[in-house]
Amino acid sequence: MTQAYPGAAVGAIVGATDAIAKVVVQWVDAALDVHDRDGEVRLLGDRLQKLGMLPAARITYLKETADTQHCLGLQVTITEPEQIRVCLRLLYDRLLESPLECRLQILLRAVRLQLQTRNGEDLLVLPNAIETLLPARQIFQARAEAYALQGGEHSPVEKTNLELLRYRLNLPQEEADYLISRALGPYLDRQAKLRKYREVLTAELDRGNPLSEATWAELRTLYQSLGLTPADASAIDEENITRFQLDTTQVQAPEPKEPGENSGGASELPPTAPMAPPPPLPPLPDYSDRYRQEFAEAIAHTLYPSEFDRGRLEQARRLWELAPDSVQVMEQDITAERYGPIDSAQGVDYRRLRQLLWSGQWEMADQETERLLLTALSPDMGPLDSETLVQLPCLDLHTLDALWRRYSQDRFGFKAQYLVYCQVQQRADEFLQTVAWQQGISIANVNVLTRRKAYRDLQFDLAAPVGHLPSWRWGCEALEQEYAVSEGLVDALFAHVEKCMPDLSPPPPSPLAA
Amino acid sequence: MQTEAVQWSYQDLDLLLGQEEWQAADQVTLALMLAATHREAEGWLDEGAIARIPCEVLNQLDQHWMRYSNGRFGFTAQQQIYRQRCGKEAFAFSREVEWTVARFRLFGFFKFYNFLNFSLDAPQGHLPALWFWHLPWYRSWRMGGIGTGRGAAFGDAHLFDALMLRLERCQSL
Repeated sequence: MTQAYPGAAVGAIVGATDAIAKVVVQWVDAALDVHDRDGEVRLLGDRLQKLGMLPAARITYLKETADTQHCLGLQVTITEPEQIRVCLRLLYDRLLESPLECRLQILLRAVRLQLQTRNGEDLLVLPNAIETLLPARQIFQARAEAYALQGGEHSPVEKTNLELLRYRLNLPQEEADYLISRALGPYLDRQAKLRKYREVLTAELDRGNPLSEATWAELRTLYQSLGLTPADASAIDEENITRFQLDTTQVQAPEPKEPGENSGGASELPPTAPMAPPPPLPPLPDYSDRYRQEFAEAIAHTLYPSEFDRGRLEQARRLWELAPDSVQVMEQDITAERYGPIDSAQGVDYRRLRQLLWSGQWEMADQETERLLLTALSPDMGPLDSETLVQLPCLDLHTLDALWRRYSQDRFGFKAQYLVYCQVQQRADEFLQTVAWQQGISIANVNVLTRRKAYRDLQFDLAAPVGHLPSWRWGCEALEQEYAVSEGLVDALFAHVEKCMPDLSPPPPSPLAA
Repeated sequence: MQTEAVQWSYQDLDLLLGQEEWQAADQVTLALMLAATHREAEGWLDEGAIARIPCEVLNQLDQHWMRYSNGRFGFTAQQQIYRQRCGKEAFAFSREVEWTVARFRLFGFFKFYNFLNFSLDAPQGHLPALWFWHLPWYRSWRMGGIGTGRGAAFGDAHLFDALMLRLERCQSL
């Protein structure tokens, strides 16, 4: 049956005997290209995996052929009925975020449910339909566990519901009791669970205060597996910590938030907290600074954070409920601070140039500089002359110069070139020779012979003379036989530099030039 | 050249290329390039004109040549050889596509235009070539020619570098 799906045969289906169903999700939206679709699939896969309910092998990525990178969709092998609900829930969330046409197929033995929609609401009818198709015992267990996760015990209404379900499923009483006690775990009612949590917390606080972050994480796991709500837990936390009369401000995050994704299906319902009067929740701390710090660390040594770091950051962003836009601005600021700003008055994108300079690819960076200047100033990519050149906004001139300067320790860039120009008493021909773009022989300060270099003979490394790069190839009509910069262009560019960098007043003629 | 009176169009180019009239098509190509750079009066292209020839014209001409010659002739065919086999050296390129009389440096002067190979047996990248051959007498002389264009001249393949640079810039648009 699975042969009907492209690629299903490739991702060898997990041959688990306990598989009760398969869920196949494929994005079929016409607006998606291969990469976007791949992104969507992987996003859903990652989220599923993050829940920790499914072993990795249960998720299979479907591909067109075995050797392509890009996924068409994914297939989840289901062993517990509750997992279907979780899958649907995740897909529902995703479709609310970005409504894209996707095709969902649920295979339950011989039955196949298929749905194609871009509207997440449509998925909500499915769990009830599926329930009737699953084995009775598993349904009952799933329901009992879901109830147990809400508040830690079975409330009267939940008990009644379970009883009705037992009747409907025709399940023997003793089996139902066994499943219920398994769902509730060793601590039978809510009070016992709260007590247990309080005990553990006190014991931990006795051992040392403030608690380490790892301990908090463990406590979080504890109350989640006890089926307590975050509100319950934070109430107990507060109570105990104030009792200890100790400063808790350094303690990171006593988990005051709904761990929206972590509790999966259970988070649909509002937390039931009938026992303890809910104390006022501590205000949501601002995690922006924290994120900023994390991101700064991620890019401390590289302009490209690793896949792992990117995933980690994305996870942190979701956990801390930061908006993607604000995070993007934050990231841009931090990157600019660490690797140089790339502001432009003309919407020119200097990111590639920054990357090339960062990685020391000087020749490529030089070509990219030409490309950027030509795109900004010359609509048909013709070479620049003195008149078009002065239209370069000062902001862009600064950005270009700053990038080249930053990565060459002030050796390259327009400013370095300008300083050379001042050193040679603003003589264009002398300038061209000092930055080693031309060779020449001069007698009594008059050039008698010049020989131009070919572009490929320029020196693309940090040992090049000061001001050697970036070359002015954007002003040239041909490069390979000779790289010829006109003297008019030299004067025009430096006049423009003077205008844009007024603080760069020409230094007094230095003895070097003499 | 009979470019003065006649306004050539891409349809003419199409027609000639379709009939494999490579030499005539080459002449129309030059005429179109001159018209695009407003150099009909001069009758030849200098570096400045080539550096500013509209990308659209360059692309159109290239596509026509490439299509009718199955990728044998055209600017991108030339570019490929120039980049991959000649290390971006215009003179090496000229020898590679047999624009010169011989491959040795000593006899490495350019052929007269009429001696080029106007058939599909020509080496890859052999055409279009006329735009490159049309030079004013002083440039021809300076290179050792006899004042009638590129024929018999040595060196100075500067123009070809200019065209390749222009093509590269247009491609990065």
